[in-house]
Amino acid sequence: MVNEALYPLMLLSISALAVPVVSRVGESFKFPKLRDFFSAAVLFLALFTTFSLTSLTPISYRVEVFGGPYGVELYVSTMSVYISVISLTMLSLVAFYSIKYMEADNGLDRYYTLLLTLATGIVGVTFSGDFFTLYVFWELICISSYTLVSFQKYRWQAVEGGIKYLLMSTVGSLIALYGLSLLYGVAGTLNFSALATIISQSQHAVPNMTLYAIVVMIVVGFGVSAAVVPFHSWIPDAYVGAPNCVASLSTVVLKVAAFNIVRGLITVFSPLSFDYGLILICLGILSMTLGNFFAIMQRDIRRLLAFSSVSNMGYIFAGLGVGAYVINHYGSQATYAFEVAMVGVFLHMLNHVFGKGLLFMAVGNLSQPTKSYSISKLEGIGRKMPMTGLSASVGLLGLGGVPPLSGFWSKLFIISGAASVIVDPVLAVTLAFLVFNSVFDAAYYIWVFQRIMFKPVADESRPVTEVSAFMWTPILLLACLLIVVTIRLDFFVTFVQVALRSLFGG
Amino acid sequence: MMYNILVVFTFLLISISIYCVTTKKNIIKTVIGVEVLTSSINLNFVIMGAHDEYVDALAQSFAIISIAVGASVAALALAMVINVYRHYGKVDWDALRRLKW
Repeated sequence: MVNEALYPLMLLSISALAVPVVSRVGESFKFPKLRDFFSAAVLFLALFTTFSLTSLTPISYRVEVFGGPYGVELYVSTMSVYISVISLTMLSLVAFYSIKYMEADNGLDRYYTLLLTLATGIVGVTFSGDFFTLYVFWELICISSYTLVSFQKYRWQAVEGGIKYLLMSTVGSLIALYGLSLLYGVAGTLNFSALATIISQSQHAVPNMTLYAIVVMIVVGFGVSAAVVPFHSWIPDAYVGAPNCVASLSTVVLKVAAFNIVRGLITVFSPLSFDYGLILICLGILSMTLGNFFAIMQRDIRRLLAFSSVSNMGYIFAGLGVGAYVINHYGSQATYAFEVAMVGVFLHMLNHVFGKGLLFMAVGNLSQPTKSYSISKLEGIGRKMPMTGLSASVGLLGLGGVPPLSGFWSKLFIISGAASVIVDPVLAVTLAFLVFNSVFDAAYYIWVFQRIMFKPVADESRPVTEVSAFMWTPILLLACLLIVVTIRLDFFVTFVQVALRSLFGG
Repeated sequence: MMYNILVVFTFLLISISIYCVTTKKNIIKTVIGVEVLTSSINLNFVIMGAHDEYVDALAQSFAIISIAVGASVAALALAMVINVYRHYGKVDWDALRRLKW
C-alpha cells in the first residue's frame, strides 16, 4: 500500500519522465500538441489529487533507513495542501496557456518536462517533513526554474536574466544549506517536529549567537530567492528574460521561498523564545518602499510588475515580522494579533500568486499586436481585447488593493495585525509604512489600469483583435478566482486559520 | 577540540568562496567560487556528523545527495556560460549590463 502523500509526487515525477515519450507518440500520429494537453491534464489531475488529501491530513510518511525516527520524512499538513493547491492551480493554468503561447518555440518536450519537474519540486517542498528533503526538492524547483527562465536561449535577454538568477539564487540556497548543516551540528537532526522540541529544550545549553546565526542564514538564503530588497537585483532581469508564462510561474517560486522561511522560523525557532521579528520587519519595510519606488520609474511593464512583486514580498515579510514581533514582546495576550497578521500573510500569498500570474499572462496577450512591452505602446489596447482587458483590470485593481477586491482585504489583515499594539514604536512605524505603501500601490496600479484601458490607442493603423481562446480562458478563470476569493472571503480565512494551526502541530 | 578547528576551517573556506563569488569579474571564476562553496558546505555536513566513537551515516548521505545536486547546478551554470559566450563574445560580468529599464 502506497502512502497517500506519495500520490501527487509520483504522478508528477513519472509524468515528467513520460513527456518525451508522449511527445514522440504525438509526433508519429501527426499531433505534436498531445504532450501539451497531456501535461496540462496531468497538472489538473495532480491538483485534484492534492486537494483530496485535505480531509486526510496530517499524513506522515517516513523512510526509516538511517537513525529511525530522525530519517527522511514527508509530512502533509493542511498548510502544505493550501500552498501546493495554490501553486498547482497556477501551474495547470500556465500549462494550458502555453499550449498556444509557446507554440512557435522548439524543444517543447523539454519545456513541459521542466514544468512537471517544477510542479514535483513545489509539491515536494510543501510536503517535506524535514529540512533536508525540503532542500533537495527546493533545488529541483530552482534548477527547473533557472532553465525555464532562460528557455528561449536564442534571445540575449533570456541568457542574461537566467545567469544572474542562477548565480544569485544558488549562492542563496547554499548559504541556507550552510545554516542547515550548523543546525544539524547543534541538534543532531533536521526533522521539523524533532527540531522544535530539541531547540526549545536546549536553548540555554547552546550559545544564542549560533542559533541566531542559523536564523539569519535561513532568512538570507531563502530571501534571495524570495527577492527581498538587498537581494532583489535578479528579479527584473529574470522576468524580462523569461517568456511571460514562465514569469507568471516565478511568482509561485517566490511564495514557496517565503513558505520555506515560515517553515524554518515559525515551526522550528518558535517566535515565543526567539526575537527575530525586527529583522523581518526591516526587510519587509525596505522591500515595500524601494520596490514601489523602483516600480514607478520603469517603462517596461514587465519590469514594473517585477518590482511590484518585490514590494508585495515586502508585505509578506512585514506581516511575518509583525506576527513574530508581537508574540515575542507581548506573549500570549497578543495571540489574536499574531493570528490576524499571519492570516493576512497567507491570504496575500494567494492573492499575489493569482493576481501577478494573471497580469503576466495578460501582458503576454496585450503585447501580441505590437510586440512591445513598453507601457506607452500598450495604451488603450485593453479596450480592443475585451476578454484580456477585463481580466487584466480585475488583476490590476485586485493587486493594487482597491477596496472591494481581495488584495485589499489581505493587506488590511496585515495592517490590523500591526495596528493591534499601537503604543509600540516599532509597530507604529511599520503601520505607517504599510499604510503609505498600500496607498502608493493603489495609486500606480490605477494609473497603469487607466493607461491600458482608457487612453486612446497610440497607433490606430495597426488592427488589434482579441487573441485565441486558449490564451484568454486561463486569464478569465484566474480573474473569476480572484472574485470568488473576494466573495467567499470567510471560507478562505477559516481555511487559512485551520492551516495555520496545522503549522504548529508539526 | 579537533572538530572546532575543522569547523573554523570550513568557515574560512566559505568566506573565501563568497569573496570569490562577489568580486570576480569572470563568470567562470564565479562558477568556480560556487563550486568551492558547495564543497565546503558538504565538508561541514560531514564534520557535523563525525563523533569520537562513531560516524553519523545520515550526515554523510546528506553530503552525497548534496554533491549530486551541486553537480547538476554546476552543469547548468556552465551551459549558461556557453550561451553567454555565444551572445556576448566574452564571459565577463561587465558585458552583462544590457538589460535596463
